[in-house]
Amino acid sequence: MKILLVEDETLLSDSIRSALVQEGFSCETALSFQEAREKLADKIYDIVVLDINLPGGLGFDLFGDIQSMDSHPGVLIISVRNSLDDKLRGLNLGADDYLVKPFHLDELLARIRSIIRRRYPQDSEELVYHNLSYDLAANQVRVNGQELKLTHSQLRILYYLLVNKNRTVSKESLSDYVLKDDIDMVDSFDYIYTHIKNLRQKLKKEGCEVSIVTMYGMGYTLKKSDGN
Amino acid sequence: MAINQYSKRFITKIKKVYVVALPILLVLTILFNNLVIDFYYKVIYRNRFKAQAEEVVSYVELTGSFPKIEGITYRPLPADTKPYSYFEYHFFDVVTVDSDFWSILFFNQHLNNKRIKEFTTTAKIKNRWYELKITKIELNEPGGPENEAVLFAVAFSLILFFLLNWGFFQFNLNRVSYNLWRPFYQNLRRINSYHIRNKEPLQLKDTHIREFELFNQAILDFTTKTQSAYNQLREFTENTAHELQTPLSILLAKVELILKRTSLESENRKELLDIKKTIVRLSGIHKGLNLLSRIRSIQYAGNIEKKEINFNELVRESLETYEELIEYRNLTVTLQADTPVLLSTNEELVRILVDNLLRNAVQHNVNQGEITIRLTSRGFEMSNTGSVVEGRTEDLFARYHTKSTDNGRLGLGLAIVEAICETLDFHCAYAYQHSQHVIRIHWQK
Repeated sequence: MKILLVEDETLLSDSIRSALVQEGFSCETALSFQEAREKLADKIYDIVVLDINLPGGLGFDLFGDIQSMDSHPGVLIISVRNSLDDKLRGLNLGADDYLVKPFHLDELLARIRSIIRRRYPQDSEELVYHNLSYDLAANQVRVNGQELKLTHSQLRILYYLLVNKNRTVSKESLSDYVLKDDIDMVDSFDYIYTHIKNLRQKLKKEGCEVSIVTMYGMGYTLKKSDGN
Repeated sequence: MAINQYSKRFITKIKKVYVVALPILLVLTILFNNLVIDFYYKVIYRNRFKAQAEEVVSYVELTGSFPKIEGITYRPLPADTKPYSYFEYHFFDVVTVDSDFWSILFFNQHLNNKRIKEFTTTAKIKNRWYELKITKIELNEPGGPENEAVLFAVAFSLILFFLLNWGFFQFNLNRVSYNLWRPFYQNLRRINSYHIRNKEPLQLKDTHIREFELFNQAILDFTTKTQSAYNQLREFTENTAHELQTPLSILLAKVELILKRTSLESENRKELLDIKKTIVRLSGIHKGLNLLSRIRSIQYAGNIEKKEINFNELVRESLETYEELIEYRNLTVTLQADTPVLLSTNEELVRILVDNLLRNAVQHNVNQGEITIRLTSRGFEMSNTGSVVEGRTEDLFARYHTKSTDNGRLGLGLAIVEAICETLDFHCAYAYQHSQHVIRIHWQK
């Protein structure tokens, strides 16, 4: 997967790039509008991570170049602009997702992975891990084909863990992803802990081969259960 | 008030009015003069003459003989006549002196003229009816009734002239004060309706009055300076809120990259997690400030998009959003809505308003607490249980009101609520009733 990162802040660009490289993506960066335009004309990318405020122009104006490419890359906008107007504008122009700065790197990676999944569907619209499957279209979780009733927050937790399967997800990024702006309304770790406890019980009851493992001091990982 | 262009112009105007008003006053006085003289002759003088004539009649009836006086004639009447009496007054019969225009105008022929007065009545003498006609011809003589009439008329005219003049004076006085203060009150109204958040600078009417102009200039200078300072501050807040997100995202990304390293000691990890938590909180504050400044700029621009929205639906959607958090804290939510409430307003802002209020009610609640939402066509009310607010409740909507138990978090939620209410012309109030926090929003005053 080739990713073009269009971001004018060198420091941020570097961090994102190293995170992407760690995840096994090949990543190129563009620091200005002009540079992004040249790179888009030169090479073929699968994903474009695009900032809106760029020296030399607005990221919105790059959509013409992006759409004219043969590979039709997926676009993820990252911007400080938080207004509904900007989000709608970006999505109407053909962006796949819109992420408001500042964001957690985990969240960025999760969004990129979900774009890839949508763009290049391997086995329909489903996330499958052993006998656990997540139907993205219907927003349903099945264990051995049997539907599992989950609350909204539990669905989000499971989705996030599934997207990051076999990786450790920190409590912070998980609670950030699940609670978003409501993070300061409750003791978020306790909230997450309560939901994870319930989620574990539900999964175990249905005989799921996958379980949520606590990595002490680091977070949670979705792993195949050991034996029992 | 000093004489200036405006008052000079106004005094000239009043002078002009006087030029017209004085002849009118004069004519009114003359007409009144005439009326008074007529009144004198037809009422006062007539009664006096009638009394004289009645004396003659009583004398005749008493003595049974007719006195030989000039101007009294007798005539026997048939036996079956009924008694009668009448009074006549002529000018035209015996006119000897020519009356000119002025005497007619001023005295209606009463002066410098001869008059003939006749009093006709009946009297019964020895069972026979007689007609008595007493005639008196008068000339304008010194010491005669005319002098009395003129005095009478002049006294009345003077009183009238005085009263009319007084009335006119009062009228003008009121008009002068009304006109002189009118520009002041016009500008006062403009100043009162002016708000520093308006896009348009304050405009004041030219008064042409030096003192008012000085005062207006001072006010204009003051508001212009304040407004530009306000705008600078507003733009600064907007820009800061924007610009700070980028460095924050860099910080966050760097910290997360370090956290991803497996070689990290758990002690360092904990420190880094604290840093990360602080960054996230800082970003949240900025998001709140950003929203606040965006609401202010919507208010500033003055064009609020409005559309018909179903308020009940909106509240229900908002409740759905916080469903799990409500469940997590074991809160009991009661929604009281009798009728569907339709409201023409800005959807985005109202959504933020309701979300913020509900968030507030959930966040500041106690576990196993209650939330009651009452919805009427005039407004809505959200009450929730929670700890007692210390200090003055008026400060509750103020932007940076914080409680010590809030862990240093800024209470931006209610400031946002207040800003939205101000933008949409709603009225919001807070009360602490029956150990519940109640926030009322009214959209109809």
